[in-house]
Amino acid sequence: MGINIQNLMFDFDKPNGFSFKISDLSLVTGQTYVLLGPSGSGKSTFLNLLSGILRPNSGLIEIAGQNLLGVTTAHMDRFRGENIGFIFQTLNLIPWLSAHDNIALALAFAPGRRARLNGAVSDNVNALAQSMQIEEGLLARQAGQLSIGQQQRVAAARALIGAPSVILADEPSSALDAANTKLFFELLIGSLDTTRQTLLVVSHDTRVTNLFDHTLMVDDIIENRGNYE
Amino acid sequence: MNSLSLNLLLRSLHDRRFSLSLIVLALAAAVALFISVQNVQRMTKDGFENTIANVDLVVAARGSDIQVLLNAVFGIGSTNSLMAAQSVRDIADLPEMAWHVPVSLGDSHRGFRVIGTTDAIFAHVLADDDKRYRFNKLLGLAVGSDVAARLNYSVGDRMVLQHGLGDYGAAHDDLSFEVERILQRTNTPFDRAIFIPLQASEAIHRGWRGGRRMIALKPEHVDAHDRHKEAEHHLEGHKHSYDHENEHHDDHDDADSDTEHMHGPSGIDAVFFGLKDRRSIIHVQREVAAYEAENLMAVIPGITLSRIWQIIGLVDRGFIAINILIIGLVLLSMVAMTVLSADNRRREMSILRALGAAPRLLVFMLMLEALFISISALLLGVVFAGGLSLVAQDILAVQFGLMSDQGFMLSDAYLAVYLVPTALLANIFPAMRLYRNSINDGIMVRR
Repeated sequence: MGINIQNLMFDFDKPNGFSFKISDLSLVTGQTYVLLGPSGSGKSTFLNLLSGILRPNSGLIEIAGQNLLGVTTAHMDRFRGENIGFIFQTLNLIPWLSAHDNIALALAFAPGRRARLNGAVSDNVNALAQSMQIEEGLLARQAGQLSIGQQQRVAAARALIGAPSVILADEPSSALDAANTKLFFELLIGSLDTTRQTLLVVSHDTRVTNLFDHTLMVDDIIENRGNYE
Repeated sequence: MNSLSLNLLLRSLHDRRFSLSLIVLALAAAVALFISVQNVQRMTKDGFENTIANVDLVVAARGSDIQVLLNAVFGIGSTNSLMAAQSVRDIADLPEMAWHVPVSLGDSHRGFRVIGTTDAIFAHVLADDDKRYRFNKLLGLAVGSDVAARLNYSVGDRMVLQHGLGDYGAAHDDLSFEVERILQRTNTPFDRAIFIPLQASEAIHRGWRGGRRMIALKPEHVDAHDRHKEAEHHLEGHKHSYDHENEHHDDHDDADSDTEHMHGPSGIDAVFFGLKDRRSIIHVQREVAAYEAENLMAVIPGITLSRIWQIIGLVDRGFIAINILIIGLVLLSMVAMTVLSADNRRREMSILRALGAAPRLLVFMLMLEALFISISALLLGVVFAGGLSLVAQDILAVQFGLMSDQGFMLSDAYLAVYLVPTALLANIFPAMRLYRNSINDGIMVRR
């Protein structure tokens, strides 16, 4: 099971009384999902809950069979590093590290992902780079020198390395043009290990929904009260 | 911490190498200054204590003990009043005395002071290798190792002395001296002195009044082919024929003692004494104080040195306090730089958190950075201080008479080691800030 959420309750302890609830959501391993919704609909809160930055008040939030409520704050970072690959909107990479080292960096704090590698770190980096169509010459370059499109593909390779069970992407194509957006998602989905990985992309771009197995609407799964964003 | 995160830290340091090296340089300079002060402090102390380790008492006309010691031993300042030859004889005749070395100061040679003294100074005060050396002739002299090195003198060279100190004095150019010996290095101010027989010091001043030469001496007046005695003979003859016309010098009693003829304008500034038994030191000191013919005092070098040391120590402590302040200020700029760079790298921090780095690991890496900076600064500072002491050794020796067996020692740097824990302590503030920020920022893009 990729992601399983039951009766998830979350309250910001704030006077405007924002509350967040997901009754039932199951994302299946090997499937790809796109979650659509306007900003302010609770997408960020959802991602923060999934990544363990925010802790729910009650309910079940399961990733790779582990209820996040049972993971202590001290172990949450480690759990995240091991089980979730992130792709952000922009500025995914450490600009003064090479593209290669940025990809390998995902293994620095996640020994489990490293152990899962088949062969040397560099071989895995090269394989993923090839799969994400990152030219070999670009790997040695500083990440800050790459184009935005190239940077997002490097970020995807970093999210994929060591095969974490969930890939979370937060508006990864918002800085890309239409052609690059399509290419990016095609490459990302094509590089997934469908035997053990689940992909969840949060977006407001309805043009790409046909690339995913499932399209979710924020309003269908999240019951919001109040205003957070 | 594994090889990948260590690589991350090293790359991060490398990326910021310019600002980091400025901080390391500033810290290293402050550390070097600190170590150098310690170094000079130790050298001063060593130098002072080594110089007359064998001398039990210094007797001089009553006055300031500090002035006497500084003048007679270190060549700093001047003498107020001289001792009469008779007093020197009387004190030297005390049964407790083992040996004595009279010193007559006031002349110089190209900035180096000239000490009129007796053979006993070689036997008891200077380096062991020179123990057996004796002045061969009246117009012969021995030069300290620094003088010989600086002025390039070797045995057999001739030199003319200067009346008074400094370059403005009139020259004793009617008489030239022959270099008889280059003395062994002692690492004391004596390395920067020229030693002439007391009789010669006396002789070259014959005919001088108030710093001006009244009559010129001819070498045959004072020159001697044998040892002192014959020279003294001539001298006395000359003096007496000058003072009391037609009195034949043979009439004069030919004394054996070195101190026999210490009258004349040169006079004795101080006498170094060695005791047969050090335990009698206080007793002898009282006896000297009670001497009736002249107001004298006996200075115990160790005690006076420690008084001098206290005075110097005050200045020293002030200097060290300023120095610590400087180090503190540089550390403050390190903290400022760390805060700035951590703020600039908030995005990096949230990326690292997303990849599984715990806030405490980020803090740990920041502290490692402080460790790296402070250790680099410490090592570089030691190297700077070592280099500085090599360069400055000469200046210290020439300007301040500061000398030591070892110019720079690692032990001078041991206090500077505290830089490392202090830097770590100082970095706690930016580390806490980083921790709080990375908790608040989480993994989301903030900019």
